[in-house]
Order: sequence, then C-alpha cells, then structure tokens
Amino acid sequence: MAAIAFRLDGRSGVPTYRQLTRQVHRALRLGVLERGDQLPTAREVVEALAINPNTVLRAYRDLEQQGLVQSRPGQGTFVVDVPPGPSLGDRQALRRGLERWVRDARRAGLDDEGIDTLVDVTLRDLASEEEIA
Amino acid sequence: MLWLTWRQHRGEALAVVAVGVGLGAVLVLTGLQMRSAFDAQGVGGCLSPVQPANCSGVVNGFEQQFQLYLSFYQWFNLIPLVLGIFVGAPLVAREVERTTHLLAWTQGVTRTRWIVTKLALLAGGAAVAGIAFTLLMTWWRQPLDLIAGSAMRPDAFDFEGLAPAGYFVAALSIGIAAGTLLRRTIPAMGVAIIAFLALRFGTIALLRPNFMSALVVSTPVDSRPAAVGNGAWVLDDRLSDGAGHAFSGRFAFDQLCAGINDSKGALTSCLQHHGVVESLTYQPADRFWAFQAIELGLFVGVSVGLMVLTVWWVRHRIS
Amino acid sequence: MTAAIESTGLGRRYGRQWALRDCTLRIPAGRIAGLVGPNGAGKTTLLHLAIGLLEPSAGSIEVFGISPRRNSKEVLAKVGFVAQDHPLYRGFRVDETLELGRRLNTTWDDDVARSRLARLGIPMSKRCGDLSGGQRAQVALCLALAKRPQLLMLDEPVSSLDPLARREFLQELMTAVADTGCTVLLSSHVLADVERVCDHLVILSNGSVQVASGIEELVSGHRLLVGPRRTGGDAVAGAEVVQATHGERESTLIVRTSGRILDPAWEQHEIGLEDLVLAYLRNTGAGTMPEPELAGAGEPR
Repeated sequence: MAAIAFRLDGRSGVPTYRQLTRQVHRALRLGVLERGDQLPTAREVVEALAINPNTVLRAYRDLEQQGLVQSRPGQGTFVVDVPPGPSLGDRQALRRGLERWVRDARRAGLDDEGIDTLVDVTLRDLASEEEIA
Repeated sequence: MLWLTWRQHRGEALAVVAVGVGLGAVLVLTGLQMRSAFDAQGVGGCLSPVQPANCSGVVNGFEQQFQLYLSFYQWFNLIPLVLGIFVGAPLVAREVERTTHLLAWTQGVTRTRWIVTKLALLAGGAAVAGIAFTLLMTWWRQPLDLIAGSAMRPDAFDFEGLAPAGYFVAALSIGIAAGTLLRRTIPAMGVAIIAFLALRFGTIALLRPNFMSALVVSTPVDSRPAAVGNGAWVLDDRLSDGAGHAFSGRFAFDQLCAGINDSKGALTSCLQHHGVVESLTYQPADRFWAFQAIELGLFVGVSVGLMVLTVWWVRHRIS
Repeated sequence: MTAAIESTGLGRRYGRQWALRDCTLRIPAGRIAGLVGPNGAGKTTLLHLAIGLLEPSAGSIEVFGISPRRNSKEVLAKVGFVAQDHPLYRGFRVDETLELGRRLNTTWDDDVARSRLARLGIPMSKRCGDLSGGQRAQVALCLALAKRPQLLMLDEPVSSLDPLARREFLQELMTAVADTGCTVLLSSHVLADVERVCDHLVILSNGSVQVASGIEELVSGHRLLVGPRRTGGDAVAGAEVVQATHGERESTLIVRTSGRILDPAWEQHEIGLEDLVLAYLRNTGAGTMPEPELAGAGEPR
C-alpha cells in the first residue's frame, strides 16, 4: 500500500498534474511523506482517479526535476528529498507576523474576502515585478 | 463469420427445420392416403388409352375425394415468402435499427466479407430448403401428375423440377435487398411480400407462356387432337366460325345454336354443322424441363442481381 | 512522431447538407484526445469516417498513414471502436459476445478480456440484453480492447451512464491506456470528463474544426483579462480576442496569446478548460487553431 492516496478537485480549475504535485509537496511539508517512501504507481493513480496516465507521469516528472523524487525502473517512484523551506523556528516567526498583520487588517475594516483579494493582487504584482526584473 | 452467421441465424434455421418436419409429416401422411386410394380405386388403370370396364367416374371420384387437399396445397406457393420476410428482411435492417452493424463492421472483418458470407450461407440454406420441398411435393403429387399427364400446368409446375429452389432463393434475396435499401424491418417485409408475389404471378401470367413460342392447333369443335397430347398447358382455347372470325363460346351458342343446350352431343353437332373451329394455343408437356431450366435461370438471375445490389449498398450506402 | 489520425480538407455531405466540412487535423499517437461540440456538430461523422464506416465526400483521412476506406482490413485490425450507446447483440450471452470478437478479429486477447469482465463481476452466462447500461458499456469496451488496438475510438461512451457507471467506465478505460499505451479519441458532452482524462482536444462546431490542440498548450495559450471598458473595439496588443463581455465600466475578455499581455490596464487570470471550451462553442466565428504543428508540439509521452 502506497504511503499516500491522491484525490482530485474537479471544480478547482487547477490542472490535474499540478494538483498531484501540490499534494506531494504538502505531504512532504507536513511530514506525511518521508525520504524513502514510495509514491503510488502511475497505474494505481490512474485506476483510482480515472485520469490520463500521461498526467500522472507528467506530475512525477516535474517532481523528479525538482529533485524531490526519483523513479527507479521496475520498482517505482521514491521520495529522495524534502523540499527546502523555512526552518520550524522561522516558520513560527512568520506565522506570528502574519497573525499580527491579519489583526491589523481586520481593525482597518478588511473582511476575509478583502484579505484574500489583497493577498492575490500582491502576489501577482510581485510576480510580474520579478518577471520584468 | 461462419460462426457468427450460424449463431445469429440458428434459431431461424431450427424453425425452418421444425416447420419442414411438420409439413413433411403432413405431406407424407396425406400422400400415402392418396396413393392407397389411387391404387384401391384403380385410377391408374383408367388413365391408360385402353380403359378397363367400370372406369366411368373413377378419376373424377378420386379428385372429388381429395378436393380439400387439392385446393389447399396451392397455398404452399407462399412458403418461400416466410423465408423472405422472417430471415431476409431483418438481415441488414434489424442490424441498422439496433445499430449493431456498427459493432459487426468494426471488428476485424470487412463489411464486404460480412455481407457476402451471410448471403452465400443463407442463399445456400434457402436452396437446400427449396430442394427438399420440391422432392417432397413431387412425391406427394405423383398420383395427381399421373392424372394430369404431366407437371406442365402451373398448379404442378410451381412445385416440381428445378424452379422452386429458385423461388426460395429469390424470396430470400428480395427480403434482404428490401431490408438493406429501406433499413427498416417492417416496411421491408411489406415490400418483400408485394415484390415476390408480383414476380411470381407476373412470371406465370406474362413470361412463362412465352418462354418458347406456343403451338397452335385448329380442329373441328370438341375433337381435341392427339397432337396436343396429354398434359399440355393450354394457354388459350377459342372458337371461330368457318371464315376464321373468333368469338366467344357463349356468343357462338347464341348466334348459331340458340336453344340447343340440353345435351352436349347435340350442341357439338350443331356447332360442327356450322363449321365452327376450335383453336388451341398450348405449351406441350415435353417442354417441362426446358421451362424449368428457364424459370430457374430467371429467378436465380433476379436473386444474383439483388445480391449484387445488396453488397454494393452495404459497402457504399450504409453507415 | 507519427499521427494516429490525420485528415486534410475532410468533408462529408448528406444530400446537400455538409455534416463535416474542410476538416484538417492531426492527432499524434499516444494522445488521449477529446472530441467535443454541440449535437450535430459532426462528431459521430468524423469518428465514422476515421474507421471507414463512411466514405469522405471531400478530402482525405488516414489512420496511422492508412486510408480506412481503401485498406479497411488493415485499419480495422489496428482500431477498436465503441459506437454510441454501446450496441451489442441482445440475444448473445456475454461469453458469446467475446466469442464473436475472437472469431472476427485477427488479434484477440481472450485472457485479458475474461479476467477484465470477471474483475468487474459481469457474469459470462448472462444475455447482453439483460445487463445494466453500465455493464453493457463495459462489455463493449472490453470487446474493443481485447483486439489490442493501437487506436481506440469511442462515440459518447459515457453520456448514457449514471455517475457511478461513468466513473467505473473511465477507470477501466484509463487503466487500459496505462497498460497498453494506445491512442484514444473519444467524443463527449461532459467537459468535466474530458478535462479529467484527455490531453488533447478537438472542438467541432457546425461541421468544422474550431480547435485542435494539446490541452496544456491550449490552456496556457489563453488568458482571461479583466479591465476598464474601452471605447473603440476590443483589440488587445499581442493577442486575439476569443470572447468579449462588457459591463458598463468593466470588460472581460478571453484572449489567445503566445506571450504575456504587457498592457498594465488588464488584470490577467488563468482560464480553466471548461470556460475556454464554452467560449469557443459560444463564439463559433472565433479564430481557429488549425495548425497541426502546434497540435503536435506537445511533449511526447
């Protein structure tokens, strides 16, 4: 039995292969997947989700290019690395900062939806700045 | 394809065999009954030119006794239609109606092979059924043929010799072609009935009398000449006056022998006295096998034509 | 890379009515292609032309480089076909249906067929007429797969099925593709299914091809733009407008573009496949993406 089971959100509009890579990323970050664990085989994913086999292969190839997994012919695809991210301490500090910011935003009259929009726009603007630069 | 054809039509084949066995049993029983009556009543002897005594009314009596059979077996002319309606018409039409042709024609076998195999096997089956039917009917009709002197007249011709196998194959081909062109079973059945009956009766009425040019003989009234022979198929029998003007029998009585109708002999003498001549147009009995061959050729030709049309239509006009 | 299906100027006419017209497309081998379009758009006609059930009235079509009409035997050996509503002989038992496949095909994998049906719990001795719709669909799929086709074509395979049977059918289909790597062309009304299983898309409307492309290229080549309404047309530099909807002050555009829209007035969003397909179906005049080069440019499997 594979360590994780994929699921699919048909309504999200996010391409299927990216949903798969995101789930692996998340599982790695949460510690559900560890180094040495085996991902479900493409056939198992296809059978479970009724999706295109190419999509699974595409997602696994992306993960492999990111250096997170490695496919061993005849055996399967295995986790070889955990994505670099902030240390636990850093992450807690960032989260405390975000909590402070959210409280400020609420005091300034922004509801949750407003916060979402602001975050989206900021992320996008930063992304296009980086692209131009 | 052999397997598929058998699997799809085995029910029909079994039904045909069952009906054939039932019909055969009836024919064998009634046939034996007729034969024993024929022998017991000495009908055979009364048919020879030198008749023994006590022959008066024997032949008529025999025919009277089996009147029911004689009037009934003519319906057997419709037997080939059963094949055309229930095997032929649905062959392609039902596939199209249920879209199973999309299944059959997208396996590894081309549709040309599909239709050709089916046509060949079913036509073969129909021919075998037709031959069996012919043999049975020929045996059954033997006493009647002895009385008639030949099987040249339609009431015998259509059940003996070579042609009936052609009727079976033609009925099937008509049904198949109708179903293929119309793509609907029920209308195809209707068209097949009309087309087959038109072909059969059209042939009897219009074509068969002219397969070979008919012979004509003219003699004084009611002295049928030996030349016509026993068992000829008489196509026309008319009276004409001495000058050669044809007129109907009734007209002849009224004009020439009014009032003389009490006894046959008197009327004949009267007509002969006035020089009335009887003209017979006929096909002699010895043309039986030639006519059978021609008729078989005609029906086989129609069948082949329809089958070619069916194959072409399946290849190019149906999807 | 060889094309599984390639057509040039393909057309089919019924009487005076063109069911399919000037259809030029290329479906690379190894793809799972979805064929979408409204009823009467010519989907069934295209599929029937591809397997040689129909003769083209114009142009040509080739399957693995072979004409399906002239060399029907060769094409039939390579192609599995599941017609709309999964026709089967109702009086045949399931095992007789397999027997039909075994006898009528040059290649036939009886073990795979039997084990597949056994796994699905479809009894061999049942008459096809007594099976449920989902089971009939599975038997029809099984029949098409057991001939080990290089190309599998399915005409509306799931439209008549309930959601559970639909999912099970697609599971079987995708598993078979994972096992055999065959190319698939399926027509469907259900865009969600197409999005789930397909990596190539052909949009037909009114008998002509509107889009024929890999889905990823298609989605990444389109943007949803939101910005202030402008007078003087919907033209956007570096893009072609597929659909424009206007509010009093704001406009929403769906555009096709190869790069980024530089005009900062537009807020740019990615667009989902379903919205994109609907935009094309709604705007049948919107330009087409016929270039087979583009369609074939996707990454090979």
